[in-house]
Amino acid sequence: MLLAASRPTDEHIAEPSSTAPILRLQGVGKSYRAASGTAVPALLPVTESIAPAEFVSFVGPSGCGKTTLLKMAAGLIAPSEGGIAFRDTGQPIRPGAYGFVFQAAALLPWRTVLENVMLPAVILGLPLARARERAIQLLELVHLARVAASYPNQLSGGMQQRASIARALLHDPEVLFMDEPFGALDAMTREQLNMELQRISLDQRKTVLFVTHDIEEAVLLSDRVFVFSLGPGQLVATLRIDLPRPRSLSCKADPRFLRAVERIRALLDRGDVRETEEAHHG
Amino acid sequence: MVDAVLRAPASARHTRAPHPVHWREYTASLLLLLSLLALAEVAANRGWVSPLVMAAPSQVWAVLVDGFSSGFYGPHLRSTVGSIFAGFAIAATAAISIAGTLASIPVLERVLTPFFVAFQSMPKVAIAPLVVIWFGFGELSKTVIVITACFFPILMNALHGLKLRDRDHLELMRSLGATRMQLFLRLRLPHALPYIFAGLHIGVIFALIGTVVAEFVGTNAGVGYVMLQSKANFDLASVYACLLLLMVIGVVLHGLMKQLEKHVAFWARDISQVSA
Repeated sequence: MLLAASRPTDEHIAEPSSTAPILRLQGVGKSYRAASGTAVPALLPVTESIAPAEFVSFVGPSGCGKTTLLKMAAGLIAPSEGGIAFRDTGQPIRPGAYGFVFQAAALLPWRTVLENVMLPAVILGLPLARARERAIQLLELVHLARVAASYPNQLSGGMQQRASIARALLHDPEVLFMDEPFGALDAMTREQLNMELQRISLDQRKTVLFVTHDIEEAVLLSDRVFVFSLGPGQLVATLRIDLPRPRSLSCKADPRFLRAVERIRALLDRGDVRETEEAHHG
Repeated sequence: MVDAVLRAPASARHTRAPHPVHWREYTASLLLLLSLLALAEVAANRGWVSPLVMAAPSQVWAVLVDGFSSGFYGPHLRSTVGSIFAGFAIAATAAISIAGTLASIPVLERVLTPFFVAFQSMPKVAIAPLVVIWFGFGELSKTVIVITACFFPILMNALHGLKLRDRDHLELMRSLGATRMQLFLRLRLPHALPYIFAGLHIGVIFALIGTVVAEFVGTNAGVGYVMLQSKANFDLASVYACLLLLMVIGVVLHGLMKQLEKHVAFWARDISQVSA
């Protein structure tokens, strides 16, 4: 909403081809070579399509390959088999055309918050004056305008993560990849950021691929949840979450919400999920 | 990048609260110094300590005053400080450029690292006599000795800093399609700055040591040379005066590096303090 006026690419979001998948995972799998020389599968091949402006979460225990799949989808890791196609290019998404949010905020400590948010413009060679305006607007969007001139080490973990989300949005990417972005935060900050992320992804119609091992977070935010299991890592189910948007935290009491959470938990339990994972995050 | 850092708002640089001024402790330190000087004065004058062991502080002071007012120290101080700066500047420039080159050619770095480790483990002052044979008696030898003394700590620290440990930062740059040059200028180099400064810090002190050694073995100018001459004449007051001058040079160099470091690598003061 706030950024609608300054968004240069508004028109192509509403283009008619928006029903065609934005991202196709075509039998994407990963295996690692063990010391003995044999290939050990880390993630069995996944074939799925993701629609424009869709919010998809990857849920599963540590080591199930969800982060690997996310990084392969972003083109940061090469798949051992299969391929990724962005729109109808037949190629993975181009670097610079997407935003990536890491588990740790990964801000550069020698740049101010504003300079960090502007980093994509510096690397992509975008006009800096425009980028600066946009960075300031984005910092307002994530309620950080006040600390634009501060350095990351002066910010709390939640504020750092918000800055890194603003950074991921600066170059107005079509797709956002988020790797457990709120995993290290306390429950209250996390819920607050969940709501902010929903608002941003709805306002700006971003396609979001979101890795988490928090089931409720996945259900709250997603249009679809991909459930992964261990040994070897594989996609065991995809669930559509048909709760109306925008969702508030109170929708966590909705019977449909609870059913979805229960269903995912059951899928995870069946998939040999260790107790500790659930006890820790459930 | 460095430019951006230098333009950082002053308020942001001083993130920590300024240390409270401990006047009482400072006064105690000063009193301790004065009483030690007084004790030394009395001990020297009363003959409690042999004049071959210690000169009276008043004598040392007289030598210093005389040395400066007669203009005797001038050329020697210029020679010492000059070769520290020349040697240090050459070594730092070479070490940082070589580290930057090696960091982008990992194979070469792996091939050369054993040699660096071997050279760094050797006491560089031991090369000094050899350098005098190669380059003769004088300023050139002195500068070369200073370069060998401070080159390796700067190189090793810079190499250490240029290694990226943060995988997220690297993937962030790759997700934006950064070129090799951008990766170096926007990530590796700023990341390495605190480590480079730790190396420069050690390097500048090594440069001072190197200069004094060089003046002991192969020159006819400099504070170290004056000290050696005074020793030969059993002029203890002059020897102590020279030591005092070297101490002041060391303190000033240390302070200069600290100031520079605070401004250029302000975000990581802790790292450099540990390695220095």
